[in-house]
Amino acid sequence: MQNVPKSVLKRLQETRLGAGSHPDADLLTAFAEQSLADRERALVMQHLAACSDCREVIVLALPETPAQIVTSRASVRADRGGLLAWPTLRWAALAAGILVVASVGVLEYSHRDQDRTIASNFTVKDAVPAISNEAPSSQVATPMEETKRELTLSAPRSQMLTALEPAPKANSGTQPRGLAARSGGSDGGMAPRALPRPGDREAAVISENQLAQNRTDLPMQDRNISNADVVKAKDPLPAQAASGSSGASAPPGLPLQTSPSLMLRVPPRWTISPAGALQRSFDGGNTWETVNPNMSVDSAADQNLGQNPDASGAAPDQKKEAAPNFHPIFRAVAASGLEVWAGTLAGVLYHTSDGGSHWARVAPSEAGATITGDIVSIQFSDPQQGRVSTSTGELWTTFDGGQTWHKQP
Amino acid sequence: MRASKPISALVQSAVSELLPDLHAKSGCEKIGLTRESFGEILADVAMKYLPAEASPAEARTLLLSLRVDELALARACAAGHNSAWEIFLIRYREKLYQSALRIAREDSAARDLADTLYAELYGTGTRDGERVSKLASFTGRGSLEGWLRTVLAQEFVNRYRRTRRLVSLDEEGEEGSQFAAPEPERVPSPDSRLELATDSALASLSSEERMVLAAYFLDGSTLAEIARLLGVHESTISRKVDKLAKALRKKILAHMIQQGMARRQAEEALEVDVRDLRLDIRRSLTQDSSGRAFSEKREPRVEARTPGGPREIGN
Repeated sequence: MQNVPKSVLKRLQETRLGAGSHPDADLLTAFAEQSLADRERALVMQHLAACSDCREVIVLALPETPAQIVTSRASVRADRGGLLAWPTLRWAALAAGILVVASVGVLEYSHRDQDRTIASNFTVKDAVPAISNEAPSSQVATPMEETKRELTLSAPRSQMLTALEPAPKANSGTQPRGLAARSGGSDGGMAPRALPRPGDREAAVISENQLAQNRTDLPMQDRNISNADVVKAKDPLPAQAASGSSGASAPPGLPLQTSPSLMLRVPPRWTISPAGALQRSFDGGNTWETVNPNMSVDSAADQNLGQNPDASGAAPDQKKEAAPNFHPIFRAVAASGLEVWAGTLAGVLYHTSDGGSHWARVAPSEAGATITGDIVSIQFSDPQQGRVSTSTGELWTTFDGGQTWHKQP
Repeated sequence: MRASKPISALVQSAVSELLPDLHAKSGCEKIGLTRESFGEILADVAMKYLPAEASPAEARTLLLSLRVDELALARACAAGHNSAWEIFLIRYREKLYQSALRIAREDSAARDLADTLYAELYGTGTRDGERVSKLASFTGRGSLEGWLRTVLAQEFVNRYRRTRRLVSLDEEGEEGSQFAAPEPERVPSPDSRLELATDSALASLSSEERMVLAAYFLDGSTLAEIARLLGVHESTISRKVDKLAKALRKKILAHMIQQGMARRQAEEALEVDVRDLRLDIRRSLTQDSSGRAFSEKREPRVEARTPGGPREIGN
């Protein structure tokens, strides 16, 4: 990163404003949330350019980094896709190209040879290379295919490993980014871009170790999933492995389903970001990860809890289709230990009893009436007794942990 | 059309036009705010932010951009409605402590910070015998949660300054004058041509560009932080800082040469400057970030007084 002359800094620092002219907290907040119109934004910007205090305030007041987590998660996904798709494609293209060239060459050559042997009664000498050429041509393809196989074989495995443990990835992806950008000299601009890949590897290694350590005490379902994936990764059929890891059969919810079970010793803390994303923290609030219950709506749990057949019927669809993209906007969350209830706009209530690994959609209903409006608050005095209120003024209570609900008049 | 009506009348008509809609969205009824009082609040907010020459369209846009539900909640709390307080506490208590912890980075300071804000939100101070809650100043321009964080951060920065004043009384005079005005006395630099050139180069930048430079090089904010402030991608800021730094150097150099300096001499002047700066930046990076704000604030003043050898005083 380029440095600027000191005289510039001195000047920047010396520009100070008179007291009392700071923008109020509302304007600073709206500025940081990008919700000011141009005129006001320009005024605040002008002030910020000159006022180090307001700059400090506004940086300190930046929200917890849901954006960072989300982007790093997105980049995990992109990297994973890239890791798998791009080299595979590249090798496939190369292999195909060589095949075409080789086979055309061979065909041409043998044609010409045949012509020659027939026409000019040439010696057999020249025909031999043609045959021996034909043999390599098939061999040319085989090593290629083998490389391809190896690639696709290793790709899903590393993908699985990174998928198993997104947390270290999020750290290694985001933290060094700032550091490298600051410490790196003129290449500071490139550093953040280049970083995630080594991070990927590290994450993979870490999680591999963790996987080994934790496999014994993984909960039953998770063990099934990871075993299934290990089997899949070892599957010698490249085509299936490739399509499996790039396509639908790699469960998009995997990171969310498995990672907490590796970490869930302490109940996480929960919050809702300003944008309405549900987030949890395993380290007392230092870092937050966004949780999308739709990614791990558990149909089995749904049947246990949701007495509305529509809701449990809709859940698997959600999982298949909407899950990766559909982020509900949350308005309320209540947690007690591993029991967590979260409510969204338009009145969808989610429940987990394992700290967010598996979610169920709960549809409170009584005598045909269902919940309406946005859920604005959830209170649970203990795991059995709770109440949910909505923007339409409804108050729903349960005394049996959500099995049955009563609508207060 | 513009300014054909006085601004208050314009706001009134915009408020009465939009009130039914906004009122319905705000959920006022459940938290004890009447429609009339909510209308007054809206008018107050609009009056506060609209310039005298605002158009009716601007007034409407402003009103529609407000977070009316959070505005209603905050004002209902300020007015002392218990149901509003219940909701506020459920939604924000935990977050307030978390934000305080993130800002203060240390548990006891965070609790202290959050408790102070709580007291202010609840309204310890009285004006004309009435409890005044800080929530009465929330206007719904941004989110309530963001506002709470900003208020916490302001309190934190203020307190910082106060603590520091207690620690070094001998510097109180300086602290007091810090925000008063641009430095009154400025020792003429050994080479004012560099400063002149710097001034003209900086003057050619937009305020956003100056903001980015100051945030990055002075405050030590990270590229990621600046990017989030401006709502752009980190790589955009990275490129921007790089480009700005290069352009500034070029401009300063050109200006100095234009002022009759030999190119070599000008380059040397700039080179010395940059080398000093590198030391500076490295130092500010190795410093504990909690001490950053003040040591950086102090440096230029000291520097202005004793040009040439001020560095050791900073520590």
